[in-house]
Amino acid sequence: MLQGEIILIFAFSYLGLLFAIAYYGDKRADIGRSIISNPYIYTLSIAVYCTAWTFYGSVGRAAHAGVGFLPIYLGPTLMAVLWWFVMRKIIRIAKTQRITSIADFIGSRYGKSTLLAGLVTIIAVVGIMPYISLQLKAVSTSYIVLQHYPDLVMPYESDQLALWEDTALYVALLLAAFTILFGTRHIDATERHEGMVAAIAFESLVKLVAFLAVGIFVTFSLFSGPADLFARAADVPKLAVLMRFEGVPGGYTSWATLTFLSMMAIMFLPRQFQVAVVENVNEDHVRKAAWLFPLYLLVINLFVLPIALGGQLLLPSQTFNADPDTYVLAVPMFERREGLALFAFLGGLSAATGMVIVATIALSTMVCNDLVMPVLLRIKALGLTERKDLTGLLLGIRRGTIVAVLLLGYLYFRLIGESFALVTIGLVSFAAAAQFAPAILIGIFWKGATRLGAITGLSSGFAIWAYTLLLPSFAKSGWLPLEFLEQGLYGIELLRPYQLFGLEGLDPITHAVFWSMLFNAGLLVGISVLGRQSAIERFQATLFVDVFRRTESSREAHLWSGTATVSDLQALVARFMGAEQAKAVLADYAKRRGVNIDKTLSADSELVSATERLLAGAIGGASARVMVSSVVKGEALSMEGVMQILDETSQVMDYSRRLEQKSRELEAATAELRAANKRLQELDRMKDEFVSTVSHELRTPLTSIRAFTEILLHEPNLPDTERQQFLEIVVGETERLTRLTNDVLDLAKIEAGRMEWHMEHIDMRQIIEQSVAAVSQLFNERKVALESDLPSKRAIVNADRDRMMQVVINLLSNAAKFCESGSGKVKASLTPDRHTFRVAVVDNGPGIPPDQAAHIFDKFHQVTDQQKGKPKGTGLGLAISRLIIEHHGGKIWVDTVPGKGCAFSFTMPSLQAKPVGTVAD
Amino acid sequence: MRTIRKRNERLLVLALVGILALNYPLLSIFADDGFVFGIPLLYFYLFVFWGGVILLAGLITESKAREEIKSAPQTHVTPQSDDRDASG
Repeated sequence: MLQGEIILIFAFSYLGLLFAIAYYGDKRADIGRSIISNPYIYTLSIAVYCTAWTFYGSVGRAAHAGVGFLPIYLGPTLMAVLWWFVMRKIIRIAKTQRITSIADFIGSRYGKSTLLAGLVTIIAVVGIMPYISLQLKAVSTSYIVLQHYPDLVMPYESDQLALWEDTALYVALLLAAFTILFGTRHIDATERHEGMVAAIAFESLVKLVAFLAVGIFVTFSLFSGPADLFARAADVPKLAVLMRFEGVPGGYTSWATLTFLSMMAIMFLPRQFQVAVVENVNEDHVRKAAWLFPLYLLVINLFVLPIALGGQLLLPSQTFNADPDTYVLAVPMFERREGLALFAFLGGLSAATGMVIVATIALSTMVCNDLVMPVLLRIKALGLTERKDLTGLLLGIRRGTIVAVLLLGYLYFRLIGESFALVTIGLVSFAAAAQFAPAILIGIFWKGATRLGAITGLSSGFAIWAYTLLLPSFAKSGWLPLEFLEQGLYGIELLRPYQLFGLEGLDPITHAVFWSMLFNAGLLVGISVLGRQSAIERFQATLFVDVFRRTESSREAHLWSGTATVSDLQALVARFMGAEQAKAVLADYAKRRGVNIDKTLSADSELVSATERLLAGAIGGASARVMVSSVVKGEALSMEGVMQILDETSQVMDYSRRLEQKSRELEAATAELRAANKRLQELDRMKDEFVSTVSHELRTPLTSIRAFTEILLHEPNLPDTERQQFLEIVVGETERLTRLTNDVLDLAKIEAGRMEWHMEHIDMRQIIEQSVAAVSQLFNERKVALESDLPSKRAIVNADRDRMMQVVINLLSNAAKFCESGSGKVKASLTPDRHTFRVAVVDNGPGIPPDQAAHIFDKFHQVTDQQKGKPKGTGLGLAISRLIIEHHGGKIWVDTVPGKGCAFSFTMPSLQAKPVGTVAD
Repeated sequence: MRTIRKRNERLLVLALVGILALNYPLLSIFADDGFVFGIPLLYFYLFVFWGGVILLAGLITESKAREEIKSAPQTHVTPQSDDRDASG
């Protein structure tokens, strides 16, 4: 048994499940993990197109019109083929312009017109009213039919019922409450409802499966397959007609009209616009939806005719008073399949609630944003512009709208619905939605469409629709005199609603669609061609039509809109690029575009954009936008726009900062490299010099040794004294050669770091004393006086004894060499400093020319010009001394006064880094 | 860019063919009695043609997907770097 309570329990559990899905979807969206961001959910959400009309009405229509139900689904298929470049464009525009509804879209396209948006809203509300009444009728009828299970009882005419007995009223109120809970719990800035979309997608699955279940049951369980079903139906003449085209009322004309209407409806019904455009997550989802959605339609329609024919065969209208609109429910009930019947009921409920939820949410957004709020904000007395928090008010308006729309739907149902089939009611709404088509389709492909054209086109189309479809339905239901239909308004025959202007022979829908579309599109184009656009209209038109071009080439100036004079723009350009160039650029622009630029004129949007692009080249895109918007009078920058600019600017700043840092690093690296290169070159040069000097130095003694030995060899009769003298020279030269070789080896060892150092604690006084003793013979020979001045306290350093001796002896013998014999005086001294000991060797020789003093410690440097004859040393002594001292952490230098002598000094760090006095003894 | 235009052209042609084939007079050829595999001719024709349109639409829209994915990052990156060059 299926009592009312059981049905209700199931229905409410199902709605509860929907609510849970929506809640989950919203939660996931809040944490940024959208469950609807895939093409399959997107496709299923678009399938909200299939309402109770599809679920119950198609079968009803097929039962008396055969394939006549199909254009409603073939049209969307053909349109879906074009989605890739129509729908995608609309979605792209909606995303860049932050569009929240179809009213918003049309209003924005035509210069952000509030009037136009309001008009669209009114058309949408009035136009959708029959559609909602259709859903109410379907739900209440299916409930009543199911409630009387197992009897097949058709619902009473509801106007025989008191208001409080009417199921449809309760359905309307329940749906209103559900939708309010569903869609208006909070205000979302983007007007997107992820949870709702998830629930709608789920509903699309349920209705598809439910319908397929009934279809398969009828075709394969009650009949043995489609062939059997069709064969048996073909035997009944009344049903055989349904399989041919002649069964379609209105013939090919009506067929074409329905195809056209459904093509428009799939795009421009407010709820389709809502799910396909506003709720779209990623425009690439359109790619899959373009063929998956038609596939959904095909599958859900496969069993429509079989169910209709099966219903007619099983429940002939002579014996059962079964409305074909209820076959989906009635056939399982007749076969006593209560489970299937209940499932079918839930499928129908899905179809109806899905449509009602999306449609009323879309309408409530439109009514709130495009109709009520603009009016309220304009009434200064309310002071709304000063109020900070309007969310409460917004929610109130939306909830009120939902209730109002559903009650209007109920009213239409109560007044008219009973006398029409589901499909007929629905088509009235389709014809209303089609009125949006010219304004949108022409508007996104033709820049020239004007606001005035759109307003006149839309309002005349809407008026004709109301006059030829809406009012006649009132008349037919007895709410208007029937003479209105038969004789026209005030008895004027030309104004007969079904034969407007004397056009006869068309079915009412085709007739209404023809006239309304003719006036709508005709006036839109005609008035646009005759009229002219304001700057903001031109601007918006360019943004809409060129949406793909603009977003690809430059990030467009959609952030602001308004007017600027040509001279303002020129002045702006001049500020950044100079007056001459500004003038030239404008002239060039005028020449290219073939327009005459008068300085006093207001600039069109193209010129504003061109100026922006021009400035962008000079001062960067973000700043250009700011500068251009500073001279364009119109809307202020939006918050989002400012954020975008800030973001862009900071990105640029960050980037240039990093660039600077990189270039600094690069400069430093380059300098280092250059220095290293220079040093390498220097070293190379020094090596060459060294090699050539060494070989020269080696050759000199070798040459003399060779010369003297040759003399000795060839002159055996040389006197002994001479022979003795020559041999002494050879020995001397050999010694010199040895010394030189030793020095070179020492130098190379020290420089290569391979010298072995025997570091020990030594007393510098001892070193000097021993050195003085070692060279005293030399000083005596040269008759140069040598004295030493040593402190009484020990001077301990950490050093290699032999090397230190080498340094001091070198300095002393140098001094001896350069002093005049007889008058020469050399003094060696040791002075303790704070942390060092200073050793000085002072002579009274000729001194060193200042230009040579700097090079005296270089390898092979010899002060030759002062010296007549051969140099006396190897030229390596001082170089080796310097290396030794530096190795010990000391310094060596020379102070000289030419003509008066010079002082060679070096320092050695004292072993204790303390004043020397404390270490004494 | 060329492949996108090509696809748009194909889709447009497909839609036009669909509109032609699903209306008078072409439709009237199938409007009469007759059965194919036990299915009424008209019904059979409509659904088979419908399925064909869906198949072709799917093939056309999905086939170029790979090329676009390949070229997409390039078009995305280029204007960005241009911007930076200009301002930085």
